[in-house]
Amino acid sequence: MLPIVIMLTLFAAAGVIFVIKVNVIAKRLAIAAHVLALALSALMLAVTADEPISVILGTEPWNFYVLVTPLDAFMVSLFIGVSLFILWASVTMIDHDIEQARIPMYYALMCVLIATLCGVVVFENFFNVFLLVEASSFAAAGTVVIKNKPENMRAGLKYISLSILGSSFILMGIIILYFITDSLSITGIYASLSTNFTDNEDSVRNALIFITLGTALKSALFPLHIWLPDAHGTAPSPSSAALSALVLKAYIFLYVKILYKAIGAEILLNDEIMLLTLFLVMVTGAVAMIAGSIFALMQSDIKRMIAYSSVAQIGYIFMGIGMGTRLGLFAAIFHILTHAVTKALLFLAAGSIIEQTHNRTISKMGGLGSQMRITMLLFTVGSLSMIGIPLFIGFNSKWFYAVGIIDSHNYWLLGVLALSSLLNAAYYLPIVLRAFFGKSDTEDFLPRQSLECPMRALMPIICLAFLIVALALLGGPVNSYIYMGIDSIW
Amino acid sequence: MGLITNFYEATAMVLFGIGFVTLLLQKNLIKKIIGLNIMDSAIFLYLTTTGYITGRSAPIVIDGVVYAGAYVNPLPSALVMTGIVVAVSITAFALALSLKLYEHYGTLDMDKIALMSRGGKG
Repeated sequence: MLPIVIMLTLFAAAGVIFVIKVNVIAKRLAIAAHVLALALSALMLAVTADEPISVILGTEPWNFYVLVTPLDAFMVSLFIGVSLFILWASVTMIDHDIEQARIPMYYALMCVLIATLCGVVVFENFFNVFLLVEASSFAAAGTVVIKNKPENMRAGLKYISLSILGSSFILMGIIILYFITDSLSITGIYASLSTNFTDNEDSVRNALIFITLGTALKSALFPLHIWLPDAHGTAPSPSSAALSALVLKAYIFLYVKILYKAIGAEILLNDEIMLLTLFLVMVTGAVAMIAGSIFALMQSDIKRMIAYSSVAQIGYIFMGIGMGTRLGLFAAIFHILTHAVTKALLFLAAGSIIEQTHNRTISKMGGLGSQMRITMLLFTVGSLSMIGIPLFIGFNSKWFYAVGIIDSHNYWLLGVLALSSLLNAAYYLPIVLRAFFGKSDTEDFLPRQSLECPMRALMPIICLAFLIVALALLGGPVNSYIYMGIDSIW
Repeated sequence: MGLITNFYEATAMVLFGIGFVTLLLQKNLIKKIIGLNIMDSAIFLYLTTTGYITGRSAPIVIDGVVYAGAYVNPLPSALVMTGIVVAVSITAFALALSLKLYEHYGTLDMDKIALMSRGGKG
């Protein structure tokens, strides 16, 4: 019952916050619920390492079916853990971003969002998954439009329409799989396909194409990323961090589950059309890595730049999945972790900069390093991790990608990887260099004053930075846990 | 002849096309939302049709279960129900956002709104 208790904890917190509507209580309750959920999910990590947890109520296909394998438990812990840091940072940040009266609503939405994302990961019955995918889309759009500015409304409208279109594609794929297999659960579909795949080859291929399109739309794979920069660029900073670090990943993970658990590696990797689909996913991912970075180079707004950087990083993840090898999948899952931690840090640091200086334009950030020393140092940690410098988790990720690429014999991707890292450096480093070594616009006539946030506001960001370094240096257990998770689904 | 026997599916496809084009080409937000609704209806029609088996009754049990073969497949209907709920929610959500946009810009024309917001920034 552990996964259900985790989800119910978050939902219950959301419900209570929604009823009470007191800002201080909302903040404390949301964080308390996350701490409790994190403790439970750590327990779940330990339990699933021995044996998957399964909860079934009702009979196929009308059931409520939860199955947690080690990989699912890992994703749930990642979601709740990163979300805890984001909420902690939001306690001071959110006051500057949205109206006071809406703060309880915001925390309720965040709790619902994380609960539904965990649900998307742990549920085994596609009907349950579909409901939670829709619910999470609404919660995610809610955290964008809560700011009540016209540009947020436009971004939210774009986001929700494309997101729902994506879910419709996924639904179409699920329906096709249901008609072939008479089952809605992942294990049921897998069992049924292993016997009757040869009669229904074309239908399975069509289902895979629909699901790929839907996931690409919902997870903003280039060129279907058009909603992402608007939504992530205009949302309140903690929402941007959650949307970028967590929401996109849940759908990617659902895609991984459909590929390797529902369809299964032995069917997937022995069918020409499906291999071609995977190859196209890989190539699109590679294009996204370059294109996202080039778009990021052209931005003048710091949050839009980080949002376009997400487009590039999503490209990395899809490239890893598209390789169709164990090492590629491992690199993709590891990059989900890398990107979640790093992008959360970057968005929160950028949010802190914007909050203190009321400036979003990159070219006006000269000399910021002397005014906000710690914040800029933290931003530097995030930048170096994104670029892939050793000692930071981004390097581990790039290393695993290089190993995966060599293993799958797509050597041209090594060039793409190198070029993408170079482009990452080209848009992150100028901010850092300008902040520490550039001239401030106001330096001549204003005395130097510290614009640093209070230490308690910076604490969660500092913790994320430590996490980036710690996972890079002492990440052995995490790696072996992910390996074990992949072994259990392959 | 495929088109005659499958005219529900054909209708669904035509409706889907109408909805999609409306969604893409109309500038007015309300018309875009109507397009989205037509598209949704097309998907619902398609799904309901795939679940229907000629000569069988609705899966509502009155005098005990006759036998499984007497009923149409209820699962697509259930999915459609859920789909309708989602469609209603998205319509409400989108209309609320459009209202906010109208309050701020005084127009529902997406091109004009884009022009105004660009003018505001520069």
